[in-house]
Amino acid sequence: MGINIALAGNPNCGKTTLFNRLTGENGYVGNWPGVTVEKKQASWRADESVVITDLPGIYSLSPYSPEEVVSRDFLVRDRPDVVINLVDSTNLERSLYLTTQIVELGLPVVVGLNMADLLEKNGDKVMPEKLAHDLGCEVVELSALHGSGVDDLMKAAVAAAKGRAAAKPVVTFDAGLEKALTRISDIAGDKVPQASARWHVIKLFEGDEAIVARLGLSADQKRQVNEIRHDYERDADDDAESIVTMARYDLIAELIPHFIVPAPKKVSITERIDRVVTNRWLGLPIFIVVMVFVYWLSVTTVGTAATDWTNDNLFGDGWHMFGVGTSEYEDAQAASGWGGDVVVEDGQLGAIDESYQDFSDQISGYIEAAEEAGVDTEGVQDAIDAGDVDSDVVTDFVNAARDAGVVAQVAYADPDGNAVDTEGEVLDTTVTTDGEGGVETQVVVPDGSQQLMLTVDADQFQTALDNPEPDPADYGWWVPGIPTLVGDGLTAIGVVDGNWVRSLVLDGIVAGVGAILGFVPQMFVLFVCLVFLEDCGYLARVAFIMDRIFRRFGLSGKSFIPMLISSGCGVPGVMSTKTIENESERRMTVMTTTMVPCSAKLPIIALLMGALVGSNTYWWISPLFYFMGVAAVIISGIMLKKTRWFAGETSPFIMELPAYHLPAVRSYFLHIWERIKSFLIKAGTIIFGATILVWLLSNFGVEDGSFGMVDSMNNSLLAIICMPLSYIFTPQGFGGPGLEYQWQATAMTLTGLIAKENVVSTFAVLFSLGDLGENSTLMWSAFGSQMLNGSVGALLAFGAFNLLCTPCFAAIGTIRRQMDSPRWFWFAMAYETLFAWCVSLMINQFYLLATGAGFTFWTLVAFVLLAAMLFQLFRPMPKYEDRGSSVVAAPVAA
Amino acid sequence: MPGEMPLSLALTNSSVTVSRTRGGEAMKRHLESIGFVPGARVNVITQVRGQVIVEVKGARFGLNLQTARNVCVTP
Repeated sequence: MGINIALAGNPNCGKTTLFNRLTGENGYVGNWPGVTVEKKQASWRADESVVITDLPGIYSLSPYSPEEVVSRDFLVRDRPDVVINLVDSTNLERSLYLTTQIVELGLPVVVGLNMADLLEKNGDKVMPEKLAHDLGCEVVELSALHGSGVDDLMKAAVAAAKGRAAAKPVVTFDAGLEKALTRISDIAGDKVPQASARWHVIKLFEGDEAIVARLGLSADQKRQVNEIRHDYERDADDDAESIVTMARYDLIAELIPHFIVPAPKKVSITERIDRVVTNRWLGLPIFIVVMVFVYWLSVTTVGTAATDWTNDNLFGDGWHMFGVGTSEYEDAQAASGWGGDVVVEDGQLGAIDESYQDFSDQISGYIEAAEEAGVDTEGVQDAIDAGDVDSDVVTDFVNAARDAGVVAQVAYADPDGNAVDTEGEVLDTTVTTDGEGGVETQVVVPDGSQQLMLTVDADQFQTALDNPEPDPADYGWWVPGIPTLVGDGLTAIGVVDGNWVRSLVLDGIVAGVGAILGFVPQMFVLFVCLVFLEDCGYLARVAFIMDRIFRRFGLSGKSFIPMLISSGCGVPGVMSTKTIENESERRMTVMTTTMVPCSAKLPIIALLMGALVGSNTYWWISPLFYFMGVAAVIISGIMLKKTRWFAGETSPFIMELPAYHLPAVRSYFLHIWERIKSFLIKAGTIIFGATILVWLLSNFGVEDGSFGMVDSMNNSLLAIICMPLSYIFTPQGFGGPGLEYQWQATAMTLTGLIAKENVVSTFAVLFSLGDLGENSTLMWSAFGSQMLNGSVGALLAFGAFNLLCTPCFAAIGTIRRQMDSPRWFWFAMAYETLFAWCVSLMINQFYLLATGAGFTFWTLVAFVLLAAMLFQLFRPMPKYEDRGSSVVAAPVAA
Repeated sequence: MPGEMPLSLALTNSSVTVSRTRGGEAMKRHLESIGFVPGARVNVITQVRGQVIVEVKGARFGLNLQTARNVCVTP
């Protein structure tokens, strides 16, 4: 026979810490139907038959909040075998308020005095046995954080459950109130459950309708009870609930000196910190400094390094385990000209042991030149690629080319593939097209500068052949990357190059899912920072500071925390809206929070900034986009608040500000894990499926009159689908007729729905730019001047649309779950898309007007949209009739 | 009651006593259950434009202007 333990207590009393300690990591999070409040259930690590239910943190058993309703129903109706009431010892008066109610339920109770060690450290003297006597139940001192006393607590709980001895408090309210309660008890008789008689009698006195209705009293009994209540209320000049509340606090005031002898009081550290961080002038600047530091750490330095490592190694070629072999490999690279930086002196490239060379370009360039000079080059490149540099075919070729005096001029390329000038500076590259989907690149050489060309003769060609790129697998402990492993595995089962399954697995699934998992390290670093700020207590203060500002826009300070988390990933961001009690505020936050750029949108920003200003390394770029995202949320907040569906009082802000403390390592990492877990699950399911779909769409199509795999993406299903869709973006300047690349930007946006970083990788595929990333200057120029015709307006509009429109599928799924209503979900999707469309339209049209492009129909549309937006922003709050705070009519049409 | 004022006007670093709570039933109930009952001592840690951080019954709470207005206090 199992034992059912309920864990109850105030928010922040250490319940979750205790729960995690007792159950380990096997606790699952379940949503009870109809409410968004979570109740966790798991079995005890030491004894599987003991099931522990972690109830939501509550202050009282009154039905004020959904948390209280869930906890109260569980205790009163499900009647667990024993209740562990965890009490925050540093906060006794208020914690015991709940305790006085729990001990009335007629259940076995064990009170856990959590953090009693802190009181004793403070100099207070604690005597739990005295409290045990007063409450008529076991009282155990413990520290959930450090684990001391936890075993004693569980032992007491199991014993209490087996003994079935309900708590019997000996302390009572004042005589007058007790007399009234006795009279009610006599009237109600056996209509109240005997086990929890006292609690029910008090509820009858308070006139708690939910409970009274359940008891089924006769009309006469109800009348008599009401009479007692009204008489008492009249005499006390107060309402019944307040009378009981006061009586409870009086009782607690009497209890505490029984078991605690306090030390003299002094100003706490928390109080001193709070005076500074919530200071009128310093509060906001301190917060901005903290956040810039967090993003600097996770976006610019540590996080990016970790993500780069994952992309280059785990989802790249591979890596040296523990770095064994790395230095030997690097030495070999440097000695053979494949490593090192670009060194240019006097217009000459440094020697092979001091500067990076580009031997493969030299080899192919020389073979090309030889072919033009009439030398037979048949099979040479293939032999070299296969590593047969000493084969007859190569030797014969070198001799023939030497005899013919072939000398090639080969453009030098640095390790990023960029051309450099004779000073060693990187040159810009532009892209032109032949109008048939082919792409030609052109290096831009400014006046007074010269592109670095290498002279390759037969001897230099031989040198290039003699210095093949070292294979890292030949050095130390080499661990191949996942694509290599999967590729080898496919080869082993006979799926070789050219087979479409291989392409699907490697280019579709591994590359797609890998690109997304590459963000996990960066996200991890960001959440290490954010969860720390949350767990140490600072985020609660931030919500408080931001409340001053947000309240003006119809959002409460609590909306700020989801936005902050969304800067890491929208999925946990949307999930964290759960703490916002007010329904319309919660919906509004769910709808807008993903406008804050998440880490996956950073490559889009990098590509955009590269194309715009020619560099993406400025530290201020990413914070700038975060503040833009916040501005979009605020503008949306003001506009939505003035619509019928969101009108109403902003909910009051009452938030407990817990004492500052260092988070315990265990619960800290569990918390981080919970944030990242949801993202990983999505990457394994939705994104997995979606990558397959995109691969199919972009690789299959109609070519030469028949359906099948296509060589050019111009003939793919993706192009067929995106062509008509691209007309939507005509006024934004990045789609529709009149553009040479009519559908490509639309395809990028569409694949961005799977994961935002796909925007950049799809671009690379569409323009056959292979492995180039968002840091390549060629990529910037292809994107800016070629695809978008050099239009800055279209560029900005494209960026704005992609950052503001609906988030990726993973986040969309979370929004759907959080909204819990198809209507609201579609309203959110429509709003996000429409808002992004309008903003990007205005950006492009106003840019065109400012640069003298003339007044068109779309300029007029832009002005109308601007006027409508300004009207909605600045008009006074309209009056709507019969609006309820909790029952908000769902929108009929967006 | 003489000297009664909303908590939103109490000075930073002052200590006041709750005289009553106002506002809707739900609001009153919630304020009372977290400790704002008549007679309770409240330490005002900071007060900025009506927004307060206070200590009541040993716990710290942040209240916005509208909420702080609903708690009446005497010095």
